[in-house]
Amino acid sequence: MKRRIGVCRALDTFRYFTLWKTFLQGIGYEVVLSGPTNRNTIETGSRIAPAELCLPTKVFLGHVIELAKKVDVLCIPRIVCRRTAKDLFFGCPKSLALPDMTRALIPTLPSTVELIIDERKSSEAGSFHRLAQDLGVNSGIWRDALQNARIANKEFLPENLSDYSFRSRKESIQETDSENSLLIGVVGHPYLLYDRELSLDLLDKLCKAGAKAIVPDGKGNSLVQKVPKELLTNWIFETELIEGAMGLVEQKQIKGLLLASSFACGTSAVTNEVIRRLVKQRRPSMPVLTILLDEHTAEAGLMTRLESFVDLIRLRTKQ
Amino acid sequence: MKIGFPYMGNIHISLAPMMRILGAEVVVPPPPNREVLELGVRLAPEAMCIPFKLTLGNMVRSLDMGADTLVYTTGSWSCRYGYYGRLQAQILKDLGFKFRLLELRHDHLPAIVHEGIRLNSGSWTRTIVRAGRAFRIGWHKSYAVEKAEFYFRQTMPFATDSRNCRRLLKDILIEIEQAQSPTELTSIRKGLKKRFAEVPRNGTDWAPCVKLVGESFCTIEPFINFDIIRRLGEIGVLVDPFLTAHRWLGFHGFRIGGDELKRVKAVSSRYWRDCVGGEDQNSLGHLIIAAQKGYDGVIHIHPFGCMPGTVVQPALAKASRDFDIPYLSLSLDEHTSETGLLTRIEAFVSLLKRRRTHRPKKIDTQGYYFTIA
Repeated sequence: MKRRIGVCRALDTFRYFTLWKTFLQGIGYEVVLSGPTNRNTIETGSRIAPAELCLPTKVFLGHVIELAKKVDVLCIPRIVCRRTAKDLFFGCPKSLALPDMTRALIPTLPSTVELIIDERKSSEAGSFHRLAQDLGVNSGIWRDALQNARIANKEFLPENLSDYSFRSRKESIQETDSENSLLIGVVGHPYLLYDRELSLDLLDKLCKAGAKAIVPDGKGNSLVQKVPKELLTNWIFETELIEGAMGLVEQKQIKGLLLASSFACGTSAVTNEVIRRLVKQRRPSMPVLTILLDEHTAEAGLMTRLESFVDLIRLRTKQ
Repeated sequence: MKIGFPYMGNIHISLAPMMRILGAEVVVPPPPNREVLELGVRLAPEAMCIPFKLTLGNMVRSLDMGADTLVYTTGSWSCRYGYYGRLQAQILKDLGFKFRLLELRHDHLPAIVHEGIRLNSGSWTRTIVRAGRAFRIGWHKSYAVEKAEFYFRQTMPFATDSRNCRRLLKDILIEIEQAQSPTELTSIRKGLKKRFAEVPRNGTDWAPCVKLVGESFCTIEPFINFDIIRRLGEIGVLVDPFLTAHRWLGFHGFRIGGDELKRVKAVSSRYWRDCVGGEDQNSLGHLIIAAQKGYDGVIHIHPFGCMPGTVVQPALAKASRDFDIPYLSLSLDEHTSETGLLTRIEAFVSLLKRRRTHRPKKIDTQGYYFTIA
């Protein structure tokens, strides 16, 4: 019987799931993905976590508890450092210390393996080789597995992991009749936006309020070339968010910008400020709304804020 | 060129004369107070950590006082500290201030050296001579301050009236600030032990020992941490902060001492793999070392919303259980109330005292294990 390895449907899984899944299947494991986040996940996670932690990390802990009994091994990513065109970009402190924190918080953990991506020390392939070794696979099959995984990952979109069915990519801008529907750019981490329970259905709520959400695809291929030096952050995913926001600001059809982040997300304190400055410089007339989510956010309050934001933009465009 | 720099503990006592000797004018802003903090809070992004807000307020004050160059240290790691200089410069420029930002970062070293030479009208030799002299005075001053603060911490819990002790420290700091030559500073330093020994003592023979760990700015700056070192001394606790201004001023390996840094890494490796920032690995390692050395408790302070400070908490809690040492985590921001904080500290200290009487340990309370460089 194949050994079962657990992957949590939270945090960086929303970026790398296909890569990890194909790789782990390639080296002979059965991958178990935790179910979509529900109220219970959030509650169990918040109960054990320190109060100041950000909501997505609390949710991650909830998923770990859910998986703990079901699997033989648990895979926890540790994204330390990535190299893009000679520049080093780091993960956020929470992703750097995720395995350490999980082990300290949950005593009844099954055996864990870490996928350590640290491109200061070794290449991405080296990291996967180490993962394979840690999982007891010593033959060369990891090479083929990684190659297949990389090919498969090109097709991956974060919304594959959520039960959303909306279309938010660039093509859809042309498809929609831009006179009738209002386009609003949404900037936020994929693990927040595409998690239905976590984001309280933010993207659907925006549609219900009468607007269309445009989310940049966040693949971040041209990071360094596009983002000017004074806007670069040291964090890789946050630089991608800024890059996405730059793209949104330049498209004239997009009438407003919504910054979604979680309370106590340390990086968003910086990125939101940078994006606000960017909008002020390049398109001062664009309205910006910041939404902070935490486990106490109420749905009705969120709906009201979104509706009033959409109404405001409608009034503006009519004038 | 008029240099302004953020205020942190007593760091200006050694930094200001160093820059003066290098040939620059220095603006020392008034020490942080409520008004400076509120200014920083108003200008900074809401969710930023408190050191950012306080130093921002401080820089505005320096610029008001006529500084035209801001000197700032920045990290380049995953913590938000790596973003301080850039973001603060943007905020200040938006306010209409005109200044140059000199970020002290290892990759900016050529620019810093260039600036030093420019100050000395292009002469290499003069720059090197002056730099040597500046370093010597700076080191002597900072070492004297370090020693004075050390004896202050050692005397506070045993003094009959803590005000005597505070007055003495204040006098000594003024003397150090006014002293001009290394010989003068050495003689001040040598006399410290005797001067503190003359403070009348209340006759108690032991005090609980507490290790202070946490984020560097919060540990060093008394305004943010409500002068926690003095407060603990007043209620009869020997405090040993893991980091002081003197240690902070050196480079990272140097400031905690090469050996000590290695030891910290070795003992904390069970719980923590990488240093994330915000002195998390140091805090964890020093908690374990404190437990091994027989300290009574550990207090961890960090700014509210500090990412490394938050993620390290579970590991600290686990280590404190494993090594059987009580630990208190305090998170500070502009809304922290002094009374609430004091109540928590007092409760913690009375717990430590009870614990000591219930299981007596043989340790020397005259501060044997407090060794400094």
